[in-house]
Amino acid sequence: MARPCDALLAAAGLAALTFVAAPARAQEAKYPDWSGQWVRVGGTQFDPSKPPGPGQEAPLTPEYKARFEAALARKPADVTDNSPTVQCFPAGMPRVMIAVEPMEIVIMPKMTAIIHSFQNEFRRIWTDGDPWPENMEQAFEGLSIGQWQDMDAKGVFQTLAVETRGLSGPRTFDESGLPLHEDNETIIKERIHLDAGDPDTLRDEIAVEDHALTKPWTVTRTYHRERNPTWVEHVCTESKRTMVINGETYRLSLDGYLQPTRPNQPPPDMKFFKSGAGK
Amino acid sequence: MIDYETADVIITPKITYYWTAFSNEMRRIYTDGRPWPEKIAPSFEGYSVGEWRDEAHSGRYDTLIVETRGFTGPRNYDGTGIPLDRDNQSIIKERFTVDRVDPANLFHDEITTIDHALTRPWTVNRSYKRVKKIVWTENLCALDTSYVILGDENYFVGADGYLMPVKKGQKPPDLRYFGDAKN
Repeated sequence: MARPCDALLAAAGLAALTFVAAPARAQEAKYPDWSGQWVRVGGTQFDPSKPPGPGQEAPLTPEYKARFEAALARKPADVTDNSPTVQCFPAGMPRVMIAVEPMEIVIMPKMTAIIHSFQNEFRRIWTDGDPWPENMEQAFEGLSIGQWQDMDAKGVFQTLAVETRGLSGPRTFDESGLPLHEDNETIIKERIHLDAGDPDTLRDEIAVEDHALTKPWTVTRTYHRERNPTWVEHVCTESKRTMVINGETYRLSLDGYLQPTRPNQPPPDMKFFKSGAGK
Repeated sequence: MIDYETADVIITPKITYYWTAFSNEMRRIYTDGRPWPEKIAPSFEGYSVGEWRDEAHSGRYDTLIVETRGFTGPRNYDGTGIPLDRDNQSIIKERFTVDRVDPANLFHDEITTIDHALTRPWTVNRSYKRVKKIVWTENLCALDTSYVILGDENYFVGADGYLMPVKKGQKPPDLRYFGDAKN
C-alpha cells in the first residue's frame, strides 16, 4: 500500500514525485488549517474601512498627492480602473492582498504559497530561515520572508509574520490609482492569522513603508473561507478593453475598433504608416 | 505543458498544483477522489482529475494519472499555431512518471490529446529536470507583449509608444470612432 502524500512535505521546485512522509505528522500538527478558498470581505479600495479614492486619506507626500490628483483628473469618466492593471500589469504587493478575486493558501514547512485567482498572481513566502539574498530579483510580488509564530506557546502556530521587499512596478495601492513610489523601495510587513473567534475568517494586517508616504500606512483586510470552492479563471487579456498608445488610453469597441475615452481625444499618431488612417 | 519557463509543482494529498512561470498559469489537479462535476466552468487550463499510483510497488507513489476536460479557447499546441478544435471539447490524458534512473531529479509527462481537430489521439512525451539552485523570475506577458489586435489586423506598439505596422504596406487601423479628428 502506498503511503499518502503529505501536504507539509510537498516538494517545491520542479517536482520530485516521491518523498518521505514519516517525520511530517508531528510537524503538520504545528501548522494552522488555512485550506479552502478565501473570499475578500469589504470593498476593492486598499483600506476597506474608508471610502475609495481621496476618502482613503492615504498619508501621501505632497509630491505624490499631486500625482494622484492629476491621475484622478485624467481618468476617463467611465473607466473604473485608473491603474497599470488596466494594461494587464499584475496588481503586485501590497494591492494583490485586496484579493479582488478569491485566493488559496497552501502551507508547507519551508514555503507558504498564496495563489490568487485574478491573473494567477502567485506569492511565495519563504519560511525556511534563509536570510535576505544579496541580490534580489525584482518582482511585482516582491520577495517575502515569513516566520510562523506560536503566540500562546501551545505548540501550534497561529500567525504568519511576513516582510516583503524587492519589488518592481508600476504598482498602485488600488484601482483608484493611489501611487506607490516609483523607486520601488517599498517594504511591506504583514501579520496573517485566523480570527480568534471564527476559524472561517482570516485577517491580514498590512503595514506599508514607501517613499510616497509620510508615514507607514497600516490597514487590515479580512477574508471569509469557502470550504467547498469553485475556482474560476480570471484572464486579464480576455476582458481587456482598454489600451495605451503613446501615453493615451483608448478603448477597444465590442466590434474591435479603437474608440476615444474622452471627448475630443485625438486618435493615435500614425506616423509609421505610409497611408493615412483607414475608415 | 511545454513549460517555456520553469514550473513549480506542489503536491498535497487532495490537490497537486502545477504552476508555470510563464504568464503565471496554474493547474489544479484534484486527487481527492471526486467525480466529474455536472457543470464545469470552461477555462484555459481545464478541469483536471488525477489518481496517484504506486506502479513499482515500492510503497511510494511514482505515477500520477490525469484527465482534463472543460476547456475554453482559443488554444493551440505551440507557437507555430497548430490548432485545436474551436469546440473546445478536447480531452487530455496525462501520465506523469518519475524517471526510473533519477527519480529525484527527472520526471516525464506522456500527453495524449483527443480533439475534433485530429483524426486520432495524438500522444507526445515531455520531460522535466529539477533545477538545483532556484531563482524564480517573473515572466509577465503584459510587460513585453507589444502586439495589439485592432479589427482583424495585428499591429505593434513600438518602444517609443507609437503604433506601427507589422507587415509591409499594412494599412493603419480604422479610426471610425474618432469623427474627423484624424492625424
